[in-house]
Order: sequence, then C-alpha cells, then structure tokens
Amino acid sequence: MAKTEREARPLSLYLSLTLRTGALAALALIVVGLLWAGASGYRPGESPVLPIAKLFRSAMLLSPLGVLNLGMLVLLLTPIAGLVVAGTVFLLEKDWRYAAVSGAVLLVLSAGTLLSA
Amino acid sequence: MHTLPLMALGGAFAGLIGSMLGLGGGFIVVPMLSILFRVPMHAAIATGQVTVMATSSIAAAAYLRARLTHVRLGIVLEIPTTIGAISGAFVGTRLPGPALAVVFGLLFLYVGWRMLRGSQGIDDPSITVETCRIRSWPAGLAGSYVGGVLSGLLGVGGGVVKVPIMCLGMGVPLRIATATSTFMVGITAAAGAFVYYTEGHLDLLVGGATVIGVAVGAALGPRVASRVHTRYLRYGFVVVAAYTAAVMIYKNLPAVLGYLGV
Repeated sequence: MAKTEREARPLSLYLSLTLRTGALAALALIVVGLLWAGASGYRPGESPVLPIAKLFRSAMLLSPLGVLNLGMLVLLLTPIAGLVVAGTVFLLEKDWRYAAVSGAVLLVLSAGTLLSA
Repeated sequence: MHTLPLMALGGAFAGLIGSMLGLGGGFIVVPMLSILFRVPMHAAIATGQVTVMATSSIAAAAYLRARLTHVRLGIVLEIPTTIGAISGAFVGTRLPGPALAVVFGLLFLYVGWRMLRGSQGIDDPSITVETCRIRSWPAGLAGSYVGGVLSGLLGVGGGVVKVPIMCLGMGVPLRIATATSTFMVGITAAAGAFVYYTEGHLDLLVGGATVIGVAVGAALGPRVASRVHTRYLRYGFVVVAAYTAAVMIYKNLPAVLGYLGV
C-alpha cells in the first residue's frame, strides 16, 4: 500500500497543477479580453467564436475578441491537457492498461471534434 | 450596455449557490441566461459548458491535491461518458431550442426531487482511493454514458447522474465519487463544448462574462456556506427549480407538440 501511495502522489500532483494552471491562465485571458472588448464597444450577441485557423492570424490574436477567444480555447483544452498528463504518467509508470485507456478517451475526443469540424 | 456586468453578477450568484449545493454552474446558468437574458438556448448551453469546465478544473485541482480523486476509475468511465457527450451534443445542436428547454425542465424536476431526498450515498471515511473496491462495472459504464449524453445535450456537468451511479451502483464512497465526478466533468464538458464551439454557438462576450462571474461565485461559496444553513438553501433551490422547470416546460411545450404534429 505504501508503494501505491508513492506512485499515486505524482499523478494527483501533476494533474492538479495542470488543471489549476490551465484554468487560471484561461480566466486571466478572458478577463483581459472582456475588459478590452467592453472598452471597444462590442456587445453580447455580436461576438461568435472564431474558426481556429482564423484565430491564429496575428492581427486576430491581438484583438479583444481574439484574446477572449484564446482564453476560451485554453479553458477547453485544460481538461484535455490533464488527460495527456495522466496518460504520460501511466506510460512512465509502465501502467500500459491505463495508458491505453487514456489514449482511447483522447481518441474519442479527437474523433468528436473532427466529426463536428 | 449594462447587460455584461449583469450577466457576470448572475454568473457569480449561480457559482455561489451552485458550489454551496454541490452543483456545477451549468445548472443555474443555462436557465438564467435563457429566461432572464433571453439568450438563445444553444448559446446558453454552450456557455453552460464552458462555465462547467472552469468550475470543474478549479475544484478538481483541489480534490486531486487532497487525494480524494480515483483517477483510474474516472478515466475508465470517461470512455462511455465522452461517447455519450459527443452524441448528446450532436443531437443537441440539431434539436430546436424549445425541445432542449423542455428536456432541461424535466432534468430540473429530477434534480429538485433528488435535493429533497438528500444524499443517499455511503460515506465510510476508512475507505480511501487505494482501498476502494468497485462493486459493479456495467452499472457504472451505462450510467456514465447517460451522464455524458445529458452533459452534451444540455450543457450541464452530468454529476447529478454520475455521483449516484458511482455511489449506489458501484459502491464508491460519496466523497470519492464526488471528487472523481468533478475530475470527469471537465473532460466530458470539453467533448460537448468542442462540438458547440466548432458549430459557432458560443458567444464570446456572454460566455466570458458568465464564466468570470461563476468562477468568482464558486470561489466564495465555501466561505459563505459555513455561515448559512444549507438545508434552507436546499429547500429554497427545490422551490426555484420546480418553478423554473414549470416555466421552461409550459412556455416551450406547445412548440414541441407543434414539431411532433400533435
């Protein structure tokens, strides 16, 4: 049991750090984007999300809606980053079964995104 | 325009009440945006999903540090849950708004009923993540799929289905089930949110203002909860949930019956 606890600790710690950092970074970007968009006179109902390819053009990224959109994307990607971290820890621990399960969840997520794109 | 500060304030209220009652922000945010701010149902659901992701990521980080999360169990259950969330979101983005509002109203009635009954789970403090034994996998896998469908369809976390399934169906203690469900909710919401995102339903300003409000409210929740009798809050929520469900069903049922040709 002591061994299990030692093994479980990095997984929980890395996951916790990933989720916290991702959520806080996303919220910071959203606050900046919101204040900027508010000051620039944007109104709710007139600010749909941008297609990802368009968002990463530099002019778009340096606009109020671009920053806001980037914050939303970071928020959306945070739990997925957690899943990648979990999968990597399982691989390093040679826990092939759970590494494969993490990979399968990522595969389902990617398939869903590709189907809707 | 005063709408954005009001939405942030509404989000803060939703986050505060949600965290005190153990509900993700989505449950209060979706009907609030749809009824009070007249945001189209699909945009309200997309906002619900991103608020769920913010509150889940922050709360899950705390649960993980307290080592209450059964990560392996959560990841296994995420396979049927993400499949459910993607199928729910595909159906949701194609269903008319009134139909979604009626389904949401029915879910609200179920949540109110569960709140009234109180917690049904076991909570033996001697059972830890390491010593936790799973009683029945089929029940957990099937229940997770249903939780995923609800999440993708309606922009809620689905914890109201996952926690009871883990407790009553799989024999997981309540606090481990709650922590594990919170960790899962972010991944599940991401699955549905990407579908709503790529189909252009998320409004950046509505989503942004609400997410910030919910995050602030959820952070304040535990501090306020110690000074309030959550039992009265629960009864208050049941009354509001029943009223909201009645409004959503009453207003949208004629349109739904119209689609069905009744």
